[in-house]
Formats: sequence, C-alpha cells, structure tokens
Amino acid sequence: MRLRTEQIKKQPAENMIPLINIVFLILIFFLVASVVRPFSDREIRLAESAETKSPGAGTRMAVLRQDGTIFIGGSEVSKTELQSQFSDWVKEDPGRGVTLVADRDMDATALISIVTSANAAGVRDVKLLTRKAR
Amino acid sequence: MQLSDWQRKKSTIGLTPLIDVVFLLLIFFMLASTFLKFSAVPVSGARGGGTSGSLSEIALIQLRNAGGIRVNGAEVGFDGLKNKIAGLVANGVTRAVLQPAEGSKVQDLVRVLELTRKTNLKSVVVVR
Repeated sequence: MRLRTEQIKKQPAENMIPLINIVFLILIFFLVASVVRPFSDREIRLAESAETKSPGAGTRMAVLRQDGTIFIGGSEVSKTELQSQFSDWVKEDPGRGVTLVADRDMDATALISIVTSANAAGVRDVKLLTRKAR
Repeated sequence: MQLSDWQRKKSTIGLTPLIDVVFLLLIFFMLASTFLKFSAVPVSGARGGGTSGSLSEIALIQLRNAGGIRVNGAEVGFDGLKNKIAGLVANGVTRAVLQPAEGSKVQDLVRVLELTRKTNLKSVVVVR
C-alpha cells in the first residue's frame, strides 16, 4: 500500500524533468541566437543592403514609418519634437550616434530632411538601419 | 517512516511553478526576438558653411522616382553607376552629392549609397 502511493506521487515529477530540459534548451537557444527587436516587423520593412557593418550597441533609435510618422521609444513625435529630442541627445552624450529605422518604401526626401535636421542638431553619426540581403 | 517520507516530499521544489515560469520566458523571447541580421549604412546630410575645393571635384547624382539615376545630368542605371563614378574619379572628382527626387524610395537611396561607398569617392552627402 505504501509502495503504491509512493509510485503514484513520484511518477509525474520524473516525467517532467526531460520536458523541462527541452524547454530550457529552447529558451537558451532563443536567448543566444536572436536579438530583441527594437520595432515591430509588421510596421517596418527594412531596406536590404549587402553592408556588413552592424549597428553599434547602445545607439539611439528613431523609427520612421512609410506614411512619414516618427516614433521614438514607442510614442509618436512630431518633427519639431524630433528636432528637440536630437538636441537633448547631443547634450547628454555627443559621441553617441543615432540610427534611423526607416521603412524601405518611405519617401527618400522625407528621410533626408530628418538626416539634415539631425546633423543640424549636432548629431555627427547618423546611420540607416538595413537588413542583410539573403 | 511515514513522517519522514512526508518531510522529504515537502522539501522538493514544485516543478509546476518552475515550468510555468520557464514557459512564460520562452514565449516572451519567442515573440520579442528576431533572427534578422541587421546592418547599418552611414548617411550624412549636407552641412551649411563654406567648402574647400572647387566645384569640379563634386559629382551630382540624382535619383529619380522611377528608379533611374542621373550622374551630372547623364542617365545611367544602377549597373552603370559604378563605372561612371570610377571614370569621374579618374578625372579628379573626389566627392558626390546625392539628390533623390520627390517620391523616390528609401530602398533605392540605400542601394545608391552602397554602390558609391564601393568607389573611391571620399564622401557622399545627401541633399533634398
């Protein structure tokens, strides 16, 4: 009687250990093999390039959607707010660059006016985020 | 005997809460991460102020909204751009100004920037 209750209670826990092992393995795979994405894939489709230089860690990001709206840290900003944000960033740390996350179908002239305003605010290092072509 | 058995069971960590948390972490990382390989293309805008050097050192690359490219007014395609620039560099051109037309796409801008970075031009600035 005692033997049987012990078996019943031990059985599910022992079956769970290989399951946990596999789940941990998948978790560690995702942690190592991927990066947390800074924007939603559904909203921004990046331009492709063969450039191999990766964006530096700790760069600031501004997301530019196809319709011309600008997002910083998930909230929409106007062009004048963006300009003052650029100035704030330069005041905080002049050496850090800004990476623009622009949709590939966005109007290039609108992108250039943002690049120019960043340069006017004192940002020296402006980059455009692209994805490596397959 | 029974008492000691009960104590041993109590001391083991509950696997169900553990697996709950691990599953939660797993789902979070699956949704929040991406396998895209990112890269960055530097862009520099034109700055105000005087420039040194003569105008003959500067080439004008115009990107047209149909996807065509004009270098100093002459129509070249994406394929001919590199050779055209190489010819200009041989004639003393050191810098280029890239001007996309209204309605041209960022993808084409990236493509031209990339092509010009492979040439011997010292700098390429973008203007409206």
